[in-house]
Amino acid sequence: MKDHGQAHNSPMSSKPKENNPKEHPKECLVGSGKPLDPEAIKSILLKRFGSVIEETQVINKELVIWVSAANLLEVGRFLKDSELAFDHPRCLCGVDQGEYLEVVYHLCSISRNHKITVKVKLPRHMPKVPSLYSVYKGADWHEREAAEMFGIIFEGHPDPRHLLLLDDFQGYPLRKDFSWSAPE
Amino acid sequence: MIVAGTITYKMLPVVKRLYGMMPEPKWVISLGSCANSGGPFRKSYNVLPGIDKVLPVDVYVPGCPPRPEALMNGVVKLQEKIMNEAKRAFRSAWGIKD
Amino acid sequence: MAIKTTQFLNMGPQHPSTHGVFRMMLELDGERVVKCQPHLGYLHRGLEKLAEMRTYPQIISLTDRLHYANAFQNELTYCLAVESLLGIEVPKRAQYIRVMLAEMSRMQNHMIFFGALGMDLGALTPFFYSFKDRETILDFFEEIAGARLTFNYLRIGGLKEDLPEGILERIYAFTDQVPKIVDEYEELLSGNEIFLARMKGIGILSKELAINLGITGPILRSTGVAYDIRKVEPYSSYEDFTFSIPVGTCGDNFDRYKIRMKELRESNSIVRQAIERMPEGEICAKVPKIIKIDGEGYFRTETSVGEQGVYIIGKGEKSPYRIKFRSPAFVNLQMLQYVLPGGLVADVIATFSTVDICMGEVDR
Repeated sequence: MKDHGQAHNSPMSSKPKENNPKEHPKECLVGSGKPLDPEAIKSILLKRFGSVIEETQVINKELVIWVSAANLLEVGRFLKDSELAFDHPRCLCGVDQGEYLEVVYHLCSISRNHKITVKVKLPRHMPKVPSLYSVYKGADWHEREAAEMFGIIFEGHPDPRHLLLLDDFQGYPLRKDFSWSAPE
Repeated sequence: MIVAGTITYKMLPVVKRLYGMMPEPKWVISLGSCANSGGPFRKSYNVLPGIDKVLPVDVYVPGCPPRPEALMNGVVKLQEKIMNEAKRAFRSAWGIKD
Repeated sequence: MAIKTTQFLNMGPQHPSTHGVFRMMLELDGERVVKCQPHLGYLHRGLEKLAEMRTYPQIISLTDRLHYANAFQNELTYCLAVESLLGIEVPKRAQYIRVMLAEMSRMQNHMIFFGALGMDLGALTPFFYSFKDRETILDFFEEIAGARLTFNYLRIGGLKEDLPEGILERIYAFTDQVPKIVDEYEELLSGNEIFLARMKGIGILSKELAINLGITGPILRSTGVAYDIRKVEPYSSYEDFTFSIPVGTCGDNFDRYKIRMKELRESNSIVRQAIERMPEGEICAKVPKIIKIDGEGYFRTETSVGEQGVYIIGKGEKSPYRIKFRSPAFVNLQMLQYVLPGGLVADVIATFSTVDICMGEVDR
């Protein structure tokens, strides 16, 4: 059979290794570290950042911290690169809390199997927050969606175009004051 | 052309272009309650309440989602409609009264 | 002096292989992909805004329409989220039935994957085989829930009604045949030289990139990370069942395909265990007539595509203040921008097929 060589010579593919999905590979990240409970994570963060962490709460056995927009990148990098190892971004969404807008980041750790929620409060008239794309590539599309749904500006995002809505869509649909005429 | 599923305002120009690209004679089947009338998403800001607001629809197939048998029934109904149209056109061309 | 130019190829929203209305702008240098830019939103129905106008039980029928090919798992995630916020304990029989239905849903989703993968690569036979077997599972769903695809069968606190008589024996008899069915599927595709040439070594995703992108499900497991929420944070009695998690080694298309075939067998074994140990009892817990939630929480389950999450913020009203559906296909689709460049145009469809998305879930 003629070798479909292009597939193997392309820069993306290395020589195909033997695939045996029945065996677990030797370095298997999951659960290789010990999970920390919310109080332990809180004490590590407060020791490192002090008053930068504005508020903390434990909701449903998970730590929730509030951070200001200016300090978000520093806190995000620490959460990912430090011993806490929050390497997996689960979800990112915007919330319209009435008086202010909020961005909620849900992060978890594959290796240590613990979770954290980071919230950032933003003023309604100027909702600007630095983009976490440089820390987590997975924040890319979530931030684009939050930007078009709430009007939040993610500074430093490489591609801030509309993702789900039309390019010339007017308004921010998920804000509470968005009105449209629905048919009967 | 079978228009299946929810039609959003972003997809609408694409559907209109596809309809324009079809050669005559052409017919449209609207498949599913979303294409018929917007379905459970009728009140949404991004959903067109029925493709018949934009295109002339010949057969509506209800259901959310429609069963395969319903789609087959819809195609058979379209065949009957085409046959009746052809007969009517033939009779009127020859002056045959119904 | 030769001027090197690239050309753009639009794989438009209307395309037989894009599994729904999905658009990709590919920048090509000859046959090689230089850049890939996905465009979404052609099926964006504003489910999150619509959910804010409905009461909590009414949202179940909306969650059906997220990933409409495995609706049970979406309903399950949402119901579990509400039940965990309300502190409701679901009866054991309802939990086992939910597990059984979720795993049958996973089986039929992987059958669609198998059929669609074969069809995208040009082989039509796998499609007929897998859809014929899938019809048996859909017939069971129709007997249990009344519909083939969108059920509205789960309720907050349990189920709408008990299973019909005699159906468990028939499902058990079907599970006897599933190993032979999967053997037949593997005979069709897994040893085929053309299939192997198009899948092995193509679309390789590295472990670090997968974790950084937030990818979950069979794609993450194909890179070598044995992360399955059913094992890490068991929900709905999954801790009572024994099953293994297939893990790949190099993260290419063939690994993703093999893992899903193995998961078909594992889901079959879970369904058999659920039927063998099915307890008697109530099928729905006592739930207040009008459900009001004051508080917030994020709950997640492992669907056939990955981690499905529901984040609910309630402020004591009958409807949620904000509800966010974290859909696995939306996050998994981001890998295309990193994996496709450098490959050939012909590999785009093969890689895209193994991501196994459903546009209803991506666009919500």
